[in-house]
Amino acid sequence: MYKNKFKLFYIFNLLAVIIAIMSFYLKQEFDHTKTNITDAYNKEHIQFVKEFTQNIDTSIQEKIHSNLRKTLEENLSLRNELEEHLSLFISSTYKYLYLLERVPNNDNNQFKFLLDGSKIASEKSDFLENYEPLEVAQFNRVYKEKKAIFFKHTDIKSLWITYLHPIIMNKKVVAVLVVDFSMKNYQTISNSLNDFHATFMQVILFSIFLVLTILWFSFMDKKREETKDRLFKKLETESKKVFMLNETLEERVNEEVIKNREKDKQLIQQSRLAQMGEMISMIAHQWRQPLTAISATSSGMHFKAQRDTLQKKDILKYTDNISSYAKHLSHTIDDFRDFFKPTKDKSFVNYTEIIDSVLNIIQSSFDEKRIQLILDLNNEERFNTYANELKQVLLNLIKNAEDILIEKQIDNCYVKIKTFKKENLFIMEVSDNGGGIKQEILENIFDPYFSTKEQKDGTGLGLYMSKTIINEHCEGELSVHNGEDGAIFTIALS
Amino acid sequence: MLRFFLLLTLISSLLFAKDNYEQKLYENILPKVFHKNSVHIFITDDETKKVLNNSTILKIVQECNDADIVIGNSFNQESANCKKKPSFALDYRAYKHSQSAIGAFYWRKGRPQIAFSKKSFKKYKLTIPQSLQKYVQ
Repeated sequence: MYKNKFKLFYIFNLLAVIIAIMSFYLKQEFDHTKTNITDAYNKEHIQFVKEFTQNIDTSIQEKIHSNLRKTLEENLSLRNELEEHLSLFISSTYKYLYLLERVPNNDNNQFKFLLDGSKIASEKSDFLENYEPLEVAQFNRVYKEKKAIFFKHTDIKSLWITYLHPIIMNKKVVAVLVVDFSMKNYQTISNSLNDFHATFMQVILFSIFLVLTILWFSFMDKKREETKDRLFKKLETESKKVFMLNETLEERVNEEVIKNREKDKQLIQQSRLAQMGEMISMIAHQWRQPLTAISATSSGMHFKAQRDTLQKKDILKYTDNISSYAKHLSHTIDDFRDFFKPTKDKSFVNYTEIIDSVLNIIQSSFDEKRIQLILDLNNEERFNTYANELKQVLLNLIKNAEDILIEKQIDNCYVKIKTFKKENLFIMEVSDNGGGIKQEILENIFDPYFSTKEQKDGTGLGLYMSKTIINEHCEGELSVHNGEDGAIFTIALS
Repeated sequence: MLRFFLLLTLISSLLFAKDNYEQKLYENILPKVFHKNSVHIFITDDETKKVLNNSTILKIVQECNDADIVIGNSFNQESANCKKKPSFALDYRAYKHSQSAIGAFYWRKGRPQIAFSKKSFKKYKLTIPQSLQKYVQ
């Protein structure tokens, strides 16, 4: 289709060029023909005039051999006969036919009528009537050159031609035979040809304009087709690309899923490492007091043994104490092991049990850092959830509050835990007076690797993991907002 | 606004004004013949009257008695006062047959012709200017 259009375009262009050449050729031919017609018409006229003036000349020469004026003056009948002869040629085309004799004077401007072929009385001149032709130079030329001439009357739109034929006697021009004839027919033909020429030119110009317009449109159409073709090709390439993309899309999605899983694994690993660090820190803290007690007991035993005052009952008392402290240490390890062991199944617990369990671990740290712990527990109802995971989230929230209070060195700092039931939801709020979270980062704090703590203190995974545990594992909602004194984290479980 | 209309009228009159050669011819000849800057004329021909109506040199008069010259062909039909005045014919035959015609302006074979009569000039004690001598018959 497209190639066919191009073929048509070239054929049309060729046709346009042929038409233009043909038009030019026709114009040339027309101009040539026009000149031929007008020349032929002109020549025909002149030839006819030439012939009958020669005829009249012969007639005069036959009858008058010398002294033309005198002969005509004296012989009226001859004058009448010759005038009759002249009048034979008078018609609407050959209007005036007369014989003039030049009056010899200084400027040679004056002529006198010798013969006049006019039949109309008002137009007929008298014998020897004075006459001054407008084109006197042409008349004098005939006298000088002794040959016939013709000229157009420039003042009346070349409608009239005057033919001057010299009457020569004894090798001298004795008179001039004048024929004024109309070129009206010639002019009509010429005008018609000119009109036709003008119309023809208009048609040619219009045709050229038309051809140019169509050429322009064809050119634009060609350009448009080329653009369309280019766009189609581009579209085809793009479609192929999309097709290829679709073909490999599943593969790429699988690759991305695997990558994400790897990333999740890494996150979990990092989180576990962070938790382990926390746990070790907390265990060390819990162990400090019993270890101090064991150290003090063993020092007391050592002191008494040096002084030889150590008795059997003392040994029993000290070893009992040491054993008790060792049990406490062991119990602490059990607590931590249970605390961080993920629960496979849900169990019925209430918030108070969860809070007590967490407080066992962090109470001593709070006491040491003089952070007040405010409990506002308003609901003891049990609900089915993953207890250890919930403990870990609560521990994370409390530790975060502790960190911010220490970092900002808040006076009379506190962490408040409030539980209550609202509609069917079990709510636990953990708040502090640490000043809250900046509004611009509020919606980013649950994002992975987002932390406001110093790089060495925070991994940026605590709150992300907490959100994942509550929202996805426990099917609840962990949210945050700023209260009057600081941030309030809310856990809502059903 | 008035200026605009005046200008418009002037331009219009210039645009539509015809070159009145006949009027120029009479204005050139008659003051020289009568040795006057302003010549009083009585015209019998309506066409010529129209042609010379706007002339400032030639004053058209209503009575032959007031005229310096009579322009026209029908001299015989005019009053006795007219017959006394020199005339200027508009036709060759009228010029030839008139006793009072000092000259004529007429068309012959499509060409304008001027003729002056030496006899009539003498009769009315007028002199033919040198520049017009060549037209004397």
